[in-house]
Amino acid sequence: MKRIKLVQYFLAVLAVSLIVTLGGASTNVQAASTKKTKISLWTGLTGVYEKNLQKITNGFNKSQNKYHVVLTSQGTYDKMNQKVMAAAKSNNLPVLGMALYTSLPDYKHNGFIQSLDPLYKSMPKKNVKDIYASFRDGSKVDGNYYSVPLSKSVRILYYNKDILKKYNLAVPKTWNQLRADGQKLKEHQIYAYGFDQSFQMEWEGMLHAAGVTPISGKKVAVNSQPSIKAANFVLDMVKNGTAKSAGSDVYWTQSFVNGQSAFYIGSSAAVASIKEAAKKSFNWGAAVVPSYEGKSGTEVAGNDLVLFKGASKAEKSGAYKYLKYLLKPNVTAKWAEATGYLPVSKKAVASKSFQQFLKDNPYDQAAVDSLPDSFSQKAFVGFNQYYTDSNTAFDSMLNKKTPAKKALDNLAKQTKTTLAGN
Amino acid sequence: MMIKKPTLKSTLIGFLYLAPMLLILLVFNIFPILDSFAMSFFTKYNFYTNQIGQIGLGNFKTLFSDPNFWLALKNTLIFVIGVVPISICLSLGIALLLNHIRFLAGFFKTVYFLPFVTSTVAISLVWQWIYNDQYGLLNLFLRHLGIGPINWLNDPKWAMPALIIMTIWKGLGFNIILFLAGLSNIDQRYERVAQIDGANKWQTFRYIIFPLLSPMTFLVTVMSIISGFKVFDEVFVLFGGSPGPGQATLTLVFYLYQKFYTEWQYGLAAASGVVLFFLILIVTVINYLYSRKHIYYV
Repeated sequence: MKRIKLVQYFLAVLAVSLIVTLGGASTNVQAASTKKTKISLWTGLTGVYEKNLQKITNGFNKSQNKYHVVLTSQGTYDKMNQKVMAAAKSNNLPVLGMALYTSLPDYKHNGFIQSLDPLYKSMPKKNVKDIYASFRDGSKVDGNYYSVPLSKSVRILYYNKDILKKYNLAVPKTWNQLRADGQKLKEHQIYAYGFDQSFQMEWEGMLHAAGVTPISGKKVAVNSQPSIKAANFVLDMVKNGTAKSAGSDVYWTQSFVNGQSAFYIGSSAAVASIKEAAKKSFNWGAAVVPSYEGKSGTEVAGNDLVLFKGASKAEKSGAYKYLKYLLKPNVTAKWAEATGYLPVSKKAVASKSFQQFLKDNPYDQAAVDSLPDSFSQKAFVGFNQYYTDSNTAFDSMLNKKTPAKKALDNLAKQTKTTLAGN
Repeated sequence: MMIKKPTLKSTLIGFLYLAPMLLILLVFNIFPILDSFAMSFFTKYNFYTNQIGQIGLGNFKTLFSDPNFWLALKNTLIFVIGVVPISICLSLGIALLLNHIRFLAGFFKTVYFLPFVTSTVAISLVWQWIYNDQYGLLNLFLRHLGIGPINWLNDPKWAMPALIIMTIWKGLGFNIILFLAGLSNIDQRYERVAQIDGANKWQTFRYIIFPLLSPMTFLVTVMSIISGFKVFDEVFVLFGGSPGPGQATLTLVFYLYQKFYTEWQYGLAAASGVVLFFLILIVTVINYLYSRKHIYYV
């Protein structure tokens, strides 16, 4: 009996102390929040990316006496998107959040997000124009702004210097040169061109160069003659053993570092992971992607920041302030230097600190050089469906040897159904 | 008196004891099930505002005319047929062997059980390396046997076997433990009597142990089939978030996930969930009917 009483006593003390500490903690938070308006921001960032956005946000918070931005990492982008879906359903969205620019039309269609036109209108025109055109395009839905670019990357060409030297090759300026290099390297069992799980983004780049927009309005051109031709260009290289997919590895990075290919076209954000995976003796470089049929095009990927619905007036003006802060040349340059993402404005690229950064990190030059020819994918309502269907189409071309025409015809049919349904 | 006649009062008290669990079940299980049943009939529906524009069988029509759904169904059935019998035979065999050894039995039990308690994500990542076509352990081993390198994860023909092998390995430990529990419940006197009657090892197993173990075999079968129909994590991690090369491992739950989270087609996702529900129900009922005739409860 005595022991039971002792246990009861112990539990009671534990409970009381818990209540006291929790209560104390919540009053502390309250004390802080009564002074400043809290702006919640959900990200899918982790590690060095999360740390650096926090640093930048701390800088903003220090400069403010009315607003306080609180970052919450949801672990991964997938998890964040799921969380956003659940929060939208339960009317519990944060003030700000990260979103793929290609999901903006769907977000808008479902009423998740608010227009950011007032934000851009409140900025001097030259500052808006200073943001790279491709990023601005990606931030718009039907001509209105809905996001602010944040973690942006483009496709660039990585090359293995040792292989180039050994076989007397140059960095290819055109896809035709890349194909020709493939023929030379084939006998040495080295691929010319390694790509990630799918070459879809490169295909989209080729289409852009050829002046084709895969989907615009209700017009579907994924199975147009130039589209099929571009897909076959890469598929033929895969067939004759001069190009290779990363398959279940998802990214070609590791294979590139292991010297399996002379070239790799991947995200400019992969610079960091190549640096990390490469041995000291590994000599490599980065350049802009080869041109196709005389023109260049490299696709923008990445996440933007959106303003969710339901934000109060005070939260909204705080969010505007924060977003404007992120767009400042010195801030976006700092973010880019720390993460390897691209600065979003020309002034940021021209800034002293970023130019110095490029001198110290020559690998990052290629992405910046790609910016003038970069473009954002044209998204639309139902893009999520198109995304799955196009993944399946490219997967079946690569893994089931489905002819490009058949796979793309099917994709066009599916896309037309998607567009008609929305 | 322990056994009282149930009165209104005692029944109410009984329900009171059950209430917390019932409430949790109702809120987190029963209600979502009913809700998704309803959702599967909403053909024009805004998921976020709960506005229902039209009710009908459209989602099921779309579902049954989608070749990917049939592919997912086919893949799931192949997966279940591939995993369940092998997993049961293997785990029963290992459990019988473990039951006979004293030396290091605990050690082996732990070893076999480890995969079950390890996270699927960690296991799948390790198996990604085992299956790697160039540096993988499995291909290294096969090369010694004179079998050429198999591109386990990138060849549509081998992706499903790769998934099946990993799943069997992962689930083995749990099934072994269940069988061991079943075996320890069998009175050893039956075996001794059989020995006295001159039964050999096989006969003892066939006519004494196997029938007496049948309730456990039934449980393991039902549980393996149900978890087989629900396979998702393994596919997601093993194939880097894709449904395998050439959609070779697109399973029903993966299909549902795609429709819900990637494509935002909520009605269609709910409809595929309903189909999966009835599929599992039918298989379980068949199992149950079979068990009534062939299972011996002591």
